[in-house]
Amino acid sequence: MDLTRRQTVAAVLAGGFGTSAVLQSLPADDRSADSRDESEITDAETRSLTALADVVYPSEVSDPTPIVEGYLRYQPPDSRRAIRAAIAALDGQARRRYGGSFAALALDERARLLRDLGVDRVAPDSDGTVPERIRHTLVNGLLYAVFTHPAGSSLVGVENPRGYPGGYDSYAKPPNEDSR
Amino acid sequence: MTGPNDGGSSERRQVDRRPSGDADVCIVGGGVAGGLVAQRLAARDYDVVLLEAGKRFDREARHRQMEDVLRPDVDGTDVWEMGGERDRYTSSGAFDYPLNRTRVKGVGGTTLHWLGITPRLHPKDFEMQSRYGLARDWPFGYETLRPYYAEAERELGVAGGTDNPFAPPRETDYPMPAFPQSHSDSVFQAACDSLDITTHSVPQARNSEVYDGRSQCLGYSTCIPVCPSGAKYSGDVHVRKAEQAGARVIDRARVQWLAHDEAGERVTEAVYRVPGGERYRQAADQFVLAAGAVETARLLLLSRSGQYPDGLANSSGAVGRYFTDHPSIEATGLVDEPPNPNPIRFHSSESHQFYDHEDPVPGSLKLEFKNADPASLPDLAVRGGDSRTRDDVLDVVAGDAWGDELVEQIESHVGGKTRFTIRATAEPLPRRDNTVSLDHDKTDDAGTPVPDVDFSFGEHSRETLAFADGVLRDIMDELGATDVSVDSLDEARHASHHMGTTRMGEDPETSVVDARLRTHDLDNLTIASSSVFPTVGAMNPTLTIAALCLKATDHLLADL
Repeated sequence: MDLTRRQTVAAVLAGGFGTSAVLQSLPADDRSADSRDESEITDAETRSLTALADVVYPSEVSDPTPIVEGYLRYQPPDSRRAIRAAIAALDGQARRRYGGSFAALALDERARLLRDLGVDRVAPDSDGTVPERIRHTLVNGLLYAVFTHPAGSSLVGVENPRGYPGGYDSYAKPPNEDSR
Repeated sequence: MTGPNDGGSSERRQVDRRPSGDADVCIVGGGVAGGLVAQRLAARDYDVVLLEAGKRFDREARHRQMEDVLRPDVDGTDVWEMGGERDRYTSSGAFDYPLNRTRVKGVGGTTLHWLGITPRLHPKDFEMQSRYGLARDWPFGYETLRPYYAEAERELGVAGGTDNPFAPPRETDYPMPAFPQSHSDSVFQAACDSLDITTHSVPQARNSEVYDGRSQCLGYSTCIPVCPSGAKYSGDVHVRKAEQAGARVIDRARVQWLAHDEAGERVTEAVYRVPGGERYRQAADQFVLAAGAVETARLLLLSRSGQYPDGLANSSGAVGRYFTDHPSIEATGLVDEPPNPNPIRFHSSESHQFYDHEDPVPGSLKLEFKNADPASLPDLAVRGGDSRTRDDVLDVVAGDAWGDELVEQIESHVGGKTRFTIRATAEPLPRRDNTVSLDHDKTDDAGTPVPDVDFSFGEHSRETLAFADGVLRDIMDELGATDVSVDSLDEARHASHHMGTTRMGEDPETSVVDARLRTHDLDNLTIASSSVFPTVGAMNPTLTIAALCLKATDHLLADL
């Protein structure tokens, strides 16, 4: 089995390549100006989330929209407010760096923005800095949504993942021959 | 008056929590026990008031609760909001008892987060003294409870099969067919066959088909601690039915003590506290305590008076004593088999072959064969495909994976051997020094002394688990398992089954309630709980709680 990028990095580190990497995290006060109390997520915000899903979802998930919408449907008001605030913060960063909303950026610009913000390297924190909140509330929420859905889970051989109502019969099926 | 539970949170609504004027019965506790009694009595047109310390949980929130449980970056340990100042406790025994991880306060009670396994006790469990000279007999035998077991299985909705040759006698099939075997069950079965150990299906209060207006199991695989489909039975089912039949349910009503009449023969009022601190008194003709083995004992001990300085219904001194939980050990090992292709979090195979026994020791033993599920994908995905650590140094340097790299990372975990797990649960004997008492040095947010749990496993448990250790190792050997690990007897787990503390018996000198589950000391006080179990077998207790509640309700109906 080929090493993943992460395993390669681990091997390099194990070989004595030290790290003094210090992440630059944006301060927590760089929060969205969105202080409205409404918890209704707008179509534009859904588009922003879908644009984010295009970056963090496996490329074989061709249409993230129903997964994103399904995820948002059951979020209680306080979670929706947190999601809205995090989207506003993400859009704010997109405008600051690229002059447009996150959804309006090209796919590679969206990916670069997330990496530049350190969203892939910070620890998720619902009350933390902007990157920490984007990671927790948006990226991890979206990853949760796609890997509790057959669209994501089937890519790694699971038809009915934890968190998905695919019925109980699936657990009684025999393993695939190629998993033996 | 509070309307039927519409699933909405009582925190958002204005609720009248003042007492009812003319109640026939006041029930304390809104779990499976309180719900069943309330529904039965309300259906017969009695005025019933049920006081529940916890809140009504919004059924619409179950999916978000599930997300909190499945995501490693969210603290999902308190989805039922246990562990705050309201729930303070002390654990002063040798065993550090994690009380708040083992119970839920709320409409539905602890069944909100239970697994849902519902075996009956065996006839021997009612006759431990007669058969083995151990502990005490129940004041009645299996045959007395047998029709109530059947009724309880219908009420809760139990799926089960008739393939268990060790099961006690029953008259009808289970209400629903059993859940099927998994791939890992078949691997266990092959190994057990070689050892002449018979495995079989597991009765459980989980819908294998649509039942009682509730969904069949949809396979969310998050039974503990939350079932979003409602296929798993929980006590709020009967609380809702009780309300539909006319019962009044007051949530967030914390009963602080029971008051009695001058003669000390009858309970007159339940004194309860509501949010905001107001205190009310609910009068009734009959009172039923259904608050579990810890809070029921605590409430009786808190209900001290000049006449009863040691607490109510406690002339025997047995209130709070004989607190019991089931001890268990687990064996795990790596087996050269793939996991089940899809996860399911309940187990679908057990063996009760070592349950009935001729000699006093080793005592009854139950084997549970855990389903060998694939790794939890949402857990892996949120960790960037790295299941080993959180926030490790690689996160800082390489970043967490997402997109196609995440799939690659998850796939790197697939393959190789699978961890198989067997749990052995043993019969303990009730021990007088295992207690729930009051810690007068520590109070909850209402200024009430908290419960102190003093608990440890005894020699009977250890001897039975020592026997279990050999059985588990034999099965692991037969599986060809490597890296086998078996809990040591000092690491024995508890099954989160609170039992004892108001034991049932014929002698008022040594027991708290009689065979009707009525306290010896007070004519109108019933205790509907596993707290009355004189002995506990090695079976999960909830079906027996339900059966006892139905029996107690018949006795109440005779007196109302």
